[in-house]
Amino acid sequence: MRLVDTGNHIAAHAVRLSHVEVVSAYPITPQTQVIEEISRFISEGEMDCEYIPVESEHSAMAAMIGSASMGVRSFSATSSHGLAYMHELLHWAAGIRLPMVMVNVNRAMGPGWNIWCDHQDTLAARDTGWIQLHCASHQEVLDTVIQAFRISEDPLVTLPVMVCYDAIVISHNYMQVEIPEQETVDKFLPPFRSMWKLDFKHPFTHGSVIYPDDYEEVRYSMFEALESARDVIKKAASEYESAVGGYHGGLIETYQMEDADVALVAMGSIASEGRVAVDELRRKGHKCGLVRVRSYRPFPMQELRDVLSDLRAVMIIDRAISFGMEGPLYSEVKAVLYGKSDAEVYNLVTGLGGRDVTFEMIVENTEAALKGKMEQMSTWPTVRMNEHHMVSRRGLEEFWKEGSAQ
Amino acid sequence: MVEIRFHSLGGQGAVTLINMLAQAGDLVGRKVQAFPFFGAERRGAPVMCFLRMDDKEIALRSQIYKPDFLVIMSPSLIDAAIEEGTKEGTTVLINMAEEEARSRTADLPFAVYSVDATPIALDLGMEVEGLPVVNIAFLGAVSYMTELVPLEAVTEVLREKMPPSRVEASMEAARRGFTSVVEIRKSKAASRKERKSAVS
Amino acid sequence: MPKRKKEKIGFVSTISVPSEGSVGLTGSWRIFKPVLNEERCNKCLFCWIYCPEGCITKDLKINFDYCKGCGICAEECPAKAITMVKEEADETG
Repeated sequence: MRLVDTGNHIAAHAVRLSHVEVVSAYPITPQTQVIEEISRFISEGEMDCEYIPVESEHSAMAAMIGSASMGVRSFSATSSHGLAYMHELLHWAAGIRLPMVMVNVNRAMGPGWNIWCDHQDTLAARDTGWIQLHCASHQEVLDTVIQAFRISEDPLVTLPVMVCYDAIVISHNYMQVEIPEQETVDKFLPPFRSMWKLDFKHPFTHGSVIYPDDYEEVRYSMFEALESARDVIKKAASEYESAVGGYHGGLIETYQMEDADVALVAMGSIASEGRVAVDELRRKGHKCGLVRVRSYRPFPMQELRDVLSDLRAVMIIDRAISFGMEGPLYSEVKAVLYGKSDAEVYNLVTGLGGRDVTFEMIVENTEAALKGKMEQMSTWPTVRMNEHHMVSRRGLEEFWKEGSAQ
Repeated sequence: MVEIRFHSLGGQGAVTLINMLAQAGDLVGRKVQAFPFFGAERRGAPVMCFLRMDDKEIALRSQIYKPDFLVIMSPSLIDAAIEEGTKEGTTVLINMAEEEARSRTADLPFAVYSVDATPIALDLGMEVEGLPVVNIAFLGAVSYMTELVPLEAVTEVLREKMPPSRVEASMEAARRGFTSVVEIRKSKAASRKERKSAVS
Repeated sequence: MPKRKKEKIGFVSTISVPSEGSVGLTGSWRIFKPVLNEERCNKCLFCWIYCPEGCITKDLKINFDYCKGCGICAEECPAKAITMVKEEADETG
């Protein structure tokens, strides 16, 4: 069945097809449509699922931890401040090794209050132990949510998975998606068989005190599970392709990289716009390709080394900023290439708070970098002062003038 | 690829309009993309919407700054709409009676079409709390002007998406929108060329 | 150059299973022991429910292998039927 619908509604269809039994979520723009559609499925009998309307995101994740501890396939969705509010419990879910899937619609952090896209929310949750998969198209949202349950529940992994896609650009954008038949999905995604579940007859405790003698092993085991997840994610992607159809890359997806000597590296919807930039750069005579980081955690270390090491230049586009450092994706790509590559590495920090990212801007800045007109550091190509900014600046200038007059 | 940008007021139904156009485009086998720019979501506030149709997969995710068609659903938005970006060859469709459109768009360097959608909406009872909902009339008008989706595809979508009690009125609104588009002028460049050929 | 640890340790989680005395017989920690005056006791079972170690049974037998002598039972007893008495050297293990 082909549908024209928003990224959010498509995510809800994926949840329906995955036979999720508990959904626990709190509405937040731009994620609200996901859980609205799921509630509709439940009320119209299309899903046999318990929907828990909680009073906050902190409780949403707490309820998920409860249901996943009972061996039940569980789902939640959030965004931005919602993700930040449940941050503590992200650690809990991963630390007690509970399989579950959550959609995070990438939205900027306030203040200034902003409902549009950037990746600051997701990247701030980087080190919680969650697997993070980033999508660039509607079809990928559907396919990845279904794959995410397989990955999360794999005995080698048993960790929660966050499926991320961009606010408005994907969440509220109507595009076509092939919705697979239930029987087809069922062949790919078997029912959840939990390694354990809370049970009065065989009582146990999750997350009790762990002394220094034992704690490191628990963390090392998580580290190992994320290492194992690399192959599990790749396998899920290729098996999904043969069982259901649709492939969007394993840990990375490449475009026009076969003969490239320059590459763009990006995540999310910028990587889709970036394809158009690659076409345009090629038209202008640059041998340019694109590498999309699909799995941010685990980070595709070897895959990136393989495709980027021998290039002349790499342009990394960040839709987030690590204050006091640089674009986070930039740091990580550089770290991966350290000692393995002589490529020049450039960084655009752009698209924050929904600032539109156009292929023309990417082309212009990539050409500037290739002409040696850009330093190998974070560059903010779309920052410009306008009247709005001058209001606060003038106010501050007045304040200082008054201060110095006294 | 064809790119259309819509300017409307909150409550006129532009988001539903682009959704339905996308559904109709899908019916006739086009690849579609339709998304709004979300600002203050309140009745009466300016809304921008974007629609792309192509025969191959659409990779672009940015907004539209050089539209092939610029659809202005309220006369108050002409300046704002043009300021948002146009290109040589942009065609404008505006919600206005013919005479008013002739005078108010006289300086525009674009091909201009008008549709008087407000009376159509009012006549068919498409009004929510005093605001005429012109989107369905525009569905027909955009279908006529862009030739991207035939009227049959539009009515098919209406049959599927509208509540049963509103299907007939909606189909009538779309039909009237389709048939009442008036060509105000060809683009300045084109009309100058025509004048030249008329002289020689 | 030191190499990253290669051997796998597999699944290690934070699950713990209830068992008697994972740190041994905590009764040896006791300095004062609770003594029940059965005449004053009104069988309200506050001591049973408040004992943090589950050392008091519903028929008010105290398990001195695990009773740490924390005194919560005496503190909570509304009938003042439990008193904390210094252990004699020969009574403790």
